[in-house]
Amino acid sequence: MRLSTDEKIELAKKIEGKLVGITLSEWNKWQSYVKVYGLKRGLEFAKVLKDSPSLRPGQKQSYRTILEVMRRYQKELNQLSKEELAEILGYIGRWIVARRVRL
Amino acid sequence: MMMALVDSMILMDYDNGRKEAIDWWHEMKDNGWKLCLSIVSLMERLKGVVGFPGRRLEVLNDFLDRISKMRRDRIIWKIYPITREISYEAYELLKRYCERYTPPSKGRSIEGFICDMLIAATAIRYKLILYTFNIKHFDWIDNLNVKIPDYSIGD
Repeated sequence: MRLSTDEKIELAKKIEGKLVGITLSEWNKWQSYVKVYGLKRGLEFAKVLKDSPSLRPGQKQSYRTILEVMRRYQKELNQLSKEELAEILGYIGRWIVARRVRL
Repeated sequence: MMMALVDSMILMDYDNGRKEAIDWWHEMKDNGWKLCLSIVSLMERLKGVVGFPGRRLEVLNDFLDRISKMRRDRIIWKIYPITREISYEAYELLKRYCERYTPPSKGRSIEGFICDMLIAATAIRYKLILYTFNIKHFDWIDNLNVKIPDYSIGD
């Protein structure tokens, strides 16, 4: 499946809008992991970290929300190439930054 | 049961993905606190959310979905509506304030001050601790327990 840039940005926005209590730093760490090991292992990684006693409560919340939301879009994301997936995860990060503007 | 009312600035920091606020909120929750909101804080937040990039209706629906999710996960324990008692209490608070001080003029957010009185009245009515950074709007109220959350936004 090939998506246009607009479609990728659209999908990224749709996913980002569902993320509750997400921090940019945890998102960036997670997306770097996915770029190397793929989505399936990325979700397993999030599953471990969401309950990890070595993480702060806010970090655990980030992984909880990543796991829940990304699982919902897993089928859709699995159809993408590695490059397209990386691009969409990058756009999600940009949308998270956009949310941080204090208004 | 330890219950507190959180004001709109803290909700904004949480929803904007500020890690200090998210850490604070979940640490409080892990320590047994039940953090609540007034519907007024949600109303105040709507104004900020429409400034997010993206289609307005989708942005608003996403925000409301996130709030619903926070309710389901008990990140937000309860959202208090404005009842008749709360509106009377807020009126009395504003009256008391006007007896003692000069209220902010129209140009300097009297509307925001009225919202804060509704939030203060909710905290008083349900005997909740109020967490806010805007301490000067509340610290003159004798029967209100106000606290500043112990986090600050770094950048």
